[in-house]
Amino acid sequence: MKWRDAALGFVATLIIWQLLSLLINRPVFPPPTKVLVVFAQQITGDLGRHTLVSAGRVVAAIILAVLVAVPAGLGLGQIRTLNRVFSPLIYIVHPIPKIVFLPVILVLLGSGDGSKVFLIALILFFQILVVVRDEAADLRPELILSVRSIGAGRRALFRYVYLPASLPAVLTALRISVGTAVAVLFIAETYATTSGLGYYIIVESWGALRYAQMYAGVLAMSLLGLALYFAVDGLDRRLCPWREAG
Amino acid sequence: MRDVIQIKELTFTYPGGATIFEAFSWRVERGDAWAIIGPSGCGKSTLLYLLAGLRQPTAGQVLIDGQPLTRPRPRTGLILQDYGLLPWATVWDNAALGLRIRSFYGPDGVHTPSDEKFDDKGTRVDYWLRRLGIDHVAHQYPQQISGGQRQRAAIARTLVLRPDLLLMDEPFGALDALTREDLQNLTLELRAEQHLTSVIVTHNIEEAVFMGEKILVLGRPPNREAVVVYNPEAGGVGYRQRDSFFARCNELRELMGEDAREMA
Repeated sequence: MKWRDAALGFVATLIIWQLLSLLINRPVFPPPTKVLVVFAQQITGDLGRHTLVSAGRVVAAIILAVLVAVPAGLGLGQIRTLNRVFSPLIYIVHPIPKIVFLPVILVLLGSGDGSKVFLIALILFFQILVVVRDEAADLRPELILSVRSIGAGRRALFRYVYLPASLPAVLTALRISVGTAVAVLFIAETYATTSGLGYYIIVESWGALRYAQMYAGVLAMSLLGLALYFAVDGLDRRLCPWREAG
Repeated sequence: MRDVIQIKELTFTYPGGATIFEAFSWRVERGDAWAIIGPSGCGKSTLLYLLAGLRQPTAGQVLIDGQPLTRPRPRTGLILQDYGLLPWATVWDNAALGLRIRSFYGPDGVHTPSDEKFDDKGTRVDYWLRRLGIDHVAHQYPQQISGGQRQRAAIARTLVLRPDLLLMDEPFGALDALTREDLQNLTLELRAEQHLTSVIVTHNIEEAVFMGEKILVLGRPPNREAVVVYNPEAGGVGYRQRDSFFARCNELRELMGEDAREMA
C-alpha cells in the first residue's frame, strides 16, 4: 500500500466516524475532532508512555517468537521423524486460542511484562512454526543437492538456503498474526497491570467514563497495529527483494 | 595416476529394495569426455550422484583421485537439469555462492580446497559471467531470465570454483534445440580450455554421441558390467552433420533398444 492510499483511507475513516457520531449523538461515541485534540494533548505524556510500553511488549514477543520458531520449523521441515513425532501435537495445540491460558500464565509468570510477552510470543510461535516447517519441507531436493555439491555442509545450508528460503514465510506469518497479537495484548493488559494501552483504554479511560480519552487510546492502538504492519512490509521489501522481481 | 574416477565392485541398493548396481566396475581417465546414456530408471543419475559424493555405495568403492569419496569433493563441479539456482539470489550472487560458502568455512580442505584464495572473488565472478555472456543479466533474478541464461548461470557458478571434474545431469534437457546445441558447443569449448574431465548424463542419443568421446550405456538394473562405446570423433567441428555421426547414433540406438523395450 502506498502512503497516498493510507492517507486517503485515514481521511475516509475520519469522515465516516464524524457522520456516525452525529447520527448516534451520545457521549459514548464522540466525534473525531474531540478525540484528536485529546490524542494530541496526551500522546506526549501519559498516552505516549502507555503506547511505548505496549509497543515494547509486542516487539519483544515478535523477536522471541521468531528466534524460537524459525529453527524449530526448519528442523521439523527437514527432519521427517521429528515432524512425525511433533506434528500431531502441533495440530492439537495450534487451534487452541492461546488467550485462554492467560490466567495460568499470569499465575506462573506474574503480572509484569514477562506474562504479556510470553502470551503473544506463544501465539506468534505457532503461526511462524507451521509456515516455516511447510516452507522447509517444500524446498526442492535438487536445490539442496546442488548447493551441497558446491561444498555446503549443514551450517552453510542453513545460512545460504534454509534461512533465506524461510524468510518470506516468516514475514507472511507476521503480517497475518500482528493483528491478533495486538488484540491479545489489549486483553492481557487489562488484567493485573498498570501500564500499556489496554490498561489505559479500559481502566484509566472507560472505567472513569473518559470517552474521548478512551478513543485516543483506541487510535493509538490502531496506529501501533498499522506501524507494525508497515514495518513488516518494509522488512519484506528490504530483505526479500526477489519477491517483487517476479 | 591417470584415473580420475575408479569404481570398484560397486553395489547400490535403494532403501526401497531396488538394486541399481551390482559389483559394477568402471574407470575414467584424466581429460576424458564421457557421456552416460540409458532409459529412465536405469540408474544414470544415481551413478552421477554417487560420483558427486551425494550418495554412498551400499558396497564397493567410489574413488576420485585415488581417494574414497565420503562427501562432495571441492574440486568436483555438479550441474543439474533444473540448474539448482537460488530463486532469492541474483545471477551474480548465485555465481558467487560457491565462493561465499568457501570463505564461510575458510580453507579447511574439507568444504574448501586448502589452497583456496579469497582475494579475487569479485573479479572471478565477473570474469565467468562475461565469459558465459550473461554479465548483462547479472543483477536479475533466475525467474527473470531465459532457460539458456539460467543454465549458463549454473555453469558459471561451477566454473568459478575452478573444478577439475565436471558432472552434468541432463543439463540441457529443458532447452530448445538451438540453445541446446549452442550450450553443448560452449561446454565442450570450456572443457578443453579448463582441462576438465567431464561426465554428462543424458537420455538423448544425439547428445551422448556429440558430447561423449566415450559413452557408457546403462540398461535395465541391476547394471553389472560397463558397456562402453568408443566415439573419438565427438565434439569435432561439423560432426553433427557427418554420416559417421548418424551411424554412431544408430549403433547406440540398437544397443539401447533391447533394454528399453524390456523396460517399457
